[in-house]
Amino acid sequence: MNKRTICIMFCIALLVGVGIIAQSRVTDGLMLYVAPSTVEDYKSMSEGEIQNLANVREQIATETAKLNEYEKSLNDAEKQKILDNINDAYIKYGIYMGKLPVKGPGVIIIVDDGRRELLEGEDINNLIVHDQDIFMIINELKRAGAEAISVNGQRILSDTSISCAGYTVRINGVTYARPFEIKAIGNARKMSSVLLGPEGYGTNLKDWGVIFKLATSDEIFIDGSNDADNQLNKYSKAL
Amino acid sequence: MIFAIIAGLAAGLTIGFVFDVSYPTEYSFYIAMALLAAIDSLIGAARSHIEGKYNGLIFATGFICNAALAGLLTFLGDKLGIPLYYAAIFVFGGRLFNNLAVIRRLALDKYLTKKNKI
Repeated sequence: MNKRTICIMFCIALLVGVGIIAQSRVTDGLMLYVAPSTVEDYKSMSEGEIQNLANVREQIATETAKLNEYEKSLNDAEKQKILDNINDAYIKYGIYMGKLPVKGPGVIIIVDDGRRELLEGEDINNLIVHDQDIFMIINELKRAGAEAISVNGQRILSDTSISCAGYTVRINGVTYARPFEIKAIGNARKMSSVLLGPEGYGTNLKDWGVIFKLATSDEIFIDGSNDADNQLNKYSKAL
Repeated sequence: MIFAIIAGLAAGLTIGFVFDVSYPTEYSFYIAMALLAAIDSLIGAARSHIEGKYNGLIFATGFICNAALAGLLTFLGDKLGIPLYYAAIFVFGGRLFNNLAVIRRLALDKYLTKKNKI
């Protein structure tokens, strides 16, 4: 056995060692045995997607051509008018759908779990803020004419869901814990009187021992909804 | 020679652990095939060494040809949509076991003859 062969052996073994480690790192759990039918499925799926893409590209081309035609036929003043109209409509519908941040006078409500001592044998649930409390408050605010409402920064829209999640409340799939800060833009006096009146829900909560604070403000900022999935007409179609 | 292989493997594993060697995932099949060819060649070399029939030229050409054919089969399989690399896996894998069995027998023989002499 001469030195050269030993050297070659050593080098190849070295390469094998490096290769094994590199392979296990690169394919770390990615390599799976895939049935040919699955490959076939993926193939047809990707072919469909490619077809779709081609269709969309074609559509883009035709629409761009149309747009160019329109632009050519317009003079600048008309163009500006149309742009203004579109912008107005965008703001109007954006506010209506809750997509845009808004500001205005309104109320800020803080609801928190009560901190008083429990009575003998009293249920702890009496002192905890529940999902029902949140949507009762929201409902009362809407009754008093609130135009935009947010809970802990999450905008409340027509399709917002509020559900119970143990000691927390889930709003549109996001879990929030106490304290809850509810902001509402609208007629502040009306809203506070509805909630804090003798029969109001805020008074009711306070009687139970839950912390309920309401402050009016001349300028409240409410963020728009950033929920991209929120589609009002995914299933419903116009008649 | 066996020591060279073991030392090389150990050094390679440490190098692989210490430095982050990586390459695109598409090549992983080819790398796996190359690895298999290399391991097969190593075991084959060890066997022929123990048998005393080792020839450096045969080893080198065998290693290169095997690796090339395995790569070619994998590539062809990719293009044709048939897992042709199975052929390489079966041949290399089978030969690994064969060679290991031969090595084991030779080693046992040596051990037994030594024992009987005493």
